[in-house]
Amino acid sequence: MPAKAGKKPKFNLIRKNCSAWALILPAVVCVYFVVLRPQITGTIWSFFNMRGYKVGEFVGLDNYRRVIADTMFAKTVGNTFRYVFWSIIIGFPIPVILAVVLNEVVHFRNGFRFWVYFPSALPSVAVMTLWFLMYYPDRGGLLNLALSKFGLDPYVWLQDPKHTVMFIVISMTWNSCGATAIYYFAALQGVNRELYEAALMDGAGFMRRFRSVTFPHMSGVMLLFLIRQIIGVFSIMEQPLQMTDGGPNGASTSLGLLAYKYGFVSVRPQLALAVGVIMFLILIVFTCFYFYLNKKVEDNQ
Amino acid sequence: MNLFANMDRGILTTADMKQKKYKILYLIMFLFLLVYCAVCFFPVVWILLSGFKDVKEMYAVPASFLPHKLELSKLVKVWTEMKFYKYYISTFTMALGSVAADVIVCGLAGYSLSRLKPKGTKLILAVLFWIMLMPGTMRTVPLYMIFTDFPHLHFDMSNSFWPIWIMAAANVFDIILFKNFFDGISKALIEAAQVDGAGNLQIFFRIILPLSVPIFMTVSIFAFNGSVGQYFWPYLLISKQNLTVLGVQLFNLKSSPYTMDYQMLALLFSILPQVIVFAIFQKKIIGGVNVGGVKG
Repeated sequence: MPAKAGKKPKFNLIRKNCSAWALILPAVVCVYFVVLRPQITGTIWSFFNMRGYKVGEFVGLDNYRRVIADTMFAKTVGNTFRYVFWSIIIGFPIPVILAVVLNEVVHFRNGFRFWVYFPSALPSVAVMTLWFLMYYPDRGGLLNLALSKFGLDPYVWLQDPKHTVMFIVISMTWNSCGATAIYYFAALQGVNRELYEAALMDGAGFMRRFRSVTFPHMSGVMLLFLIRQIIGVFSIMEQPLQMTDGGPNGASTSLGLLAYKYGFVSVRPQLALAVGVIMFLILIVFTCFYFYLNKKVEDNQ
Repeated sequence: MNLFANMDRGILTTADMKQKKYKILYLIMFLFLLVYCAVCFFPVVWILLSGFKDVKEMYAVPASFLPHKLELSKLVKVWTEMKFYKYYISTFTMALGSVAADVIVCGLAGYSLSRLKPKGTKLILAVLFWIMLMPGTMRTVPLYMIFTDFPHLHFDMSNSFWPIWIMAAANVFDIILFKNFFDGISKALIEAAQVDGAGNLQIFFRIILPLSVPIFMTVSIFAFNGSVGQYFWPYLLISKQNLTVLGVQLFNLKSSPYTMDYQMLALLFSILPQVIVFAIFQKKIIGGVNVGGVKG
């Protein structure tokens, strides 16, 4: 900025910086206390003993040893991967199909978009309660009501330890699928029409056009979403806490829920921090990969 | 009349639709959407209808989806008996405070980082960007400790909405969203105002703010919806009865003495704010997903 004649340019510069900083300061203070400081202290304190929520003495890797020795730990690692597995099987393909179909169907387009998105507009705590009631193990639940219409016996749903993770993932998919489909739908708007026309000239049918034009256009975004979903589902905690409280018999306890239980139920926060750091180390690998890919996808577009 | 006159977006074209196989394919896709939408919509209707049944009716053989009679007075009964007005007041206090904190703190920071660019802007942006990516899996316990016993100053913020509002203000994603939006506002307009002698604040209120109504709306709606629905932190930090929010009420519903029909109608009351916001701002919300999708 050119200094006005006669005024002190340096003083102006400082004043300008100060007022600009004053606007940023509240955000910086909040981010420091909410994100940065917990991140750093959480990592450091995972090497310390704690009494209640008071930091005690340095204990090295003791907390980590105790977590790994806990029989629940191996079980929750397995469960967490089960969540990720089912979310890839169920939660990943449905939004892709939905977006492609939404993009093809011209009738009632706005109505369809409204209802497809609708579950995503509901808060997760309400959706989990809704599905908890739908999965109700006796005849009061919607799914058992439907089964009884077909003359079948009621099923225990969430109380079946073999499938409880899958049922939780289904309710999560119902919740988040619409918003993801709309992202993909937006990505589809960017397909170059000329490519379709060229494919048409070559006499390509629907599947051929999908494979050679639509899919290559979406694949980058799809991969990004897949990794984002893996990162998100890997740290899942609120959904099982609400629907099953980790049960039956620990069958739906995820790593995130285990950390919560250490932190706030059995009040051994040092163990919660150790679990948090272990999760961080696994997730940071995915996160780096995500950003490497994100850059690649952006460079391509 | 051609049913398929304007197929200009997808894989299928108007010309394709003359062929029978594409007509069938279209019909299949249409039915698929119809079924999917029913899956989205039916659980909520079921909750509504079942809420009007009494408990005996729920377990009646043969079971029926429809209740014997729709007693609308039951809605009023549940509302007053469960004291929903109290939950609404506290939830709206929490949510509107969060929206204000988010929009004001992140909006100002985004404006400054985009337009005023003080010394250190690059560093701040880099730090914010890295923070946004960091998995926060070890943050819960230290955050809880900060809010119950603030470092060095030793005050306790639990049993108030301050922790929720502070967390809403620390929304790194929104800071960057605002910054990106302000980056897109034409420089010429601002330079013209500067030539006319307008100060920073004047530029902000006279030029930037009117042009940024869309982004403020989008961020507000999403912040409101996100905040109305939260339960985890209120559950951890707030035990005062008159500060109980809808999410916590829902979370506690399972272990409450209320019968299933009451639980169902309570669930409906709890989603009502979001459903209304979604019905009014559906274009904004569905479109806003894409604003966030550009970088995120």
